[in-house]
Amino acid sequence: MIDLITDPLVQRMLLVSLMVGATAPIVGTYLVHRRMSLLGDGIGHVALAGVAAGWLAGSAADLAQVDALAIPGAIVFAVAGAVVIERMRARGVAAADVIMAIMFYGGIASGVLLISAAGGSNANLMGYLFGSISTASWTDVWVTVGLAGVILVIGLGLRASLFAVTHDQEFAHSTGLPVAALNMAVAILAAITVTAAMRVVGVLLVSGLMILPVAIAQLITRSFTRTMTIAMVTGVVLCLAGVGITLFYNLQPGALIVVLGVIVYTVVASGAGLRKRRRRLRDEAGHAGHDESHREHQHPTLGAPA
Amino acid sequence: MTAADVDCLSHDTPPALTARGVRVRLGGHEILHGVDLDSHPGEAVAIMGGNGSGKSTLVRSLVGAIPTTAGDITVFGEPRTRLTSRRIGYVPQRASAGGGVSATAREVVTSGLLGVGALRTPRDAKARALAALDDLGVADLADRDVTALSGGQQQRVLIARALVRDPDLLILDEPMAGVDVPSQEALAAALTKRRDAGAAIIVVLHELGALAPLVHHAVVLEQGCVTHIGAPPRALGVHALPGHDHDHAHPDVPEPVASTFAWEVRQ
Repeated sequence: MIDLITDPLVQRMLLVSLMVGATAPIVGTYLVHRRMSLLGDGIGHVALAGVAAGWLAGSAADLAQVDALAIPGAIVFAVAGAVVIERMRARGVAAADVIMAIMFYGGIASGVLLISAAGGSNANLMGYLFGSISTASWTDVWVTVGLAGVILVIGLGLRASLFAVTHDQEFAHSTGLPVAALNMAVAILAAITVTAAMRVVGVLLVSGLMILPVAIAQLITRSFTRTMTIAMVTGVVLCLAGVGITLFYNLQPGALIVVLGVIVYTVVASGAGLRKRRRRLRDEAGHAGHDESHREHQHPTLGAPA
Repeated sequence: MTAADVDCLSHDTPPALTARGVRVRLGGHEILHGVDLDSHPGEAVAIMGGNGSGKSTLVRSLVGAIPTTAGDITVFGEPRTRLTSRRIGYVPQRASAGGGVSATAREVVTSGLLGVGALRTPRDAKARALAALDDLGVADLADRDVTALSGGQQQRVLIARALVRDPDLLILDEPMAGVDVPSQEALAAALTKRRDAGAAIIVVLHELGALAPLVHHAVVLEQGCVTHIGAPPRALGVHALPGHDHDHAHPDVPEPVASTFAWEVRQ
């Protein structure tokens, strides 16, 4: 066990999963609140084209490490995609959902084509599709630290304002809050989260890591702030547990983290349902008891019929 | 009160809000065709009209939630900008609020303390939010999920969110829609207190109802145009019937009928 903890590879894996687990649910909370839970999924598709474009640029520039520009490429594409989606949403473009579908599937298809043009194979893309935390370098760790820092500072620092615009945009406008800028901040934070989480769970599962902890937290609390806090803790626990288990068993960490999340959600939802049913039965029993005692109470006062 | 008692044209104080020739275009159609409106401190103006007359579009444009295509809006003598928003408390229609994550009444009211230069809540936000909820008689609901509250309770929370800003101009969009009678009375009392303290009130209403004693004058809209400015419609004849749309000019109210005689005597 000590050997494992002191292993630099394991340290890198745990550090990256700790940061991603804590930050993905922050943006996830805002996206769920705005009812745009699948935005992260869409941005992930676009980010994949960025990975391949970065790969192509790296290969054209004859870089020693051909995928050195993959993450910067993903960041550029993901942010650009998020900005386009947010502008369409803000302007209420009628064909926005069709345009988004074209962007998402165009992104994933051009990713596959670009990677083969760069001399890579679809196998190279698999690491980005489903995550490849076991290949994380120290550079990856520092990039993740930087991205997580941005999410923590903006996502938590501006929590009140971001809650206000995602809760009631019309009221936020009336207060003079910079609504367009704050909306754009949410979209860009989602893009940053996707690229940060890509290493751990991959672009296809990134939405799971953003949304599942929020869904679990909502079963426990009815407060927005507490939802975000519980979701962050849940995200960290899921990521560390998932990565930790893969140290002992040969399993895919990204998929394991998401499946663990689904299991936790199911267990907590069942518990919450049982608690609700028990409370209802108790209330009904209480009412029945009350009726009974009420009748008993009334009988002595009835008196004998004349 | 009779129509002769109402004098909206002479005021000692500068107007809280003036709108001149406001035009709004949405989805390629012009919704407002040059609307004028005046609101003064210590007065309540009702904006009335049928469904689709442009009432909500007007107030949404007044608070900057939707852009105007023409016209001028001034707030306390200055052109409306984000800075003038500091003096405005807005209560949108209840259906426009809420998201996928539940939030407590206190969290919702606290968001009223944000604005220009205030992206983070002040230190005393919690206490101020509680005080605002207490003013509306719902302090005990502070930690409850707003979506689990009744229509009337939700409306009180939204009004507390506007009042926590301590606004000089209060703009409300259909605050009585779907609200139970006790809540209507509580809301009317809270608004009357604000008006008497000198705040200007602009309120979109389908019918005057519990707010009848509060309203000084009415602006009636019909298909995006003002068709009547002046005395609020009197609750007589068909105008007194629940659900009646005041989408026409009202000085020519019908003769009182027996069923509304008692109402008129009370006035």
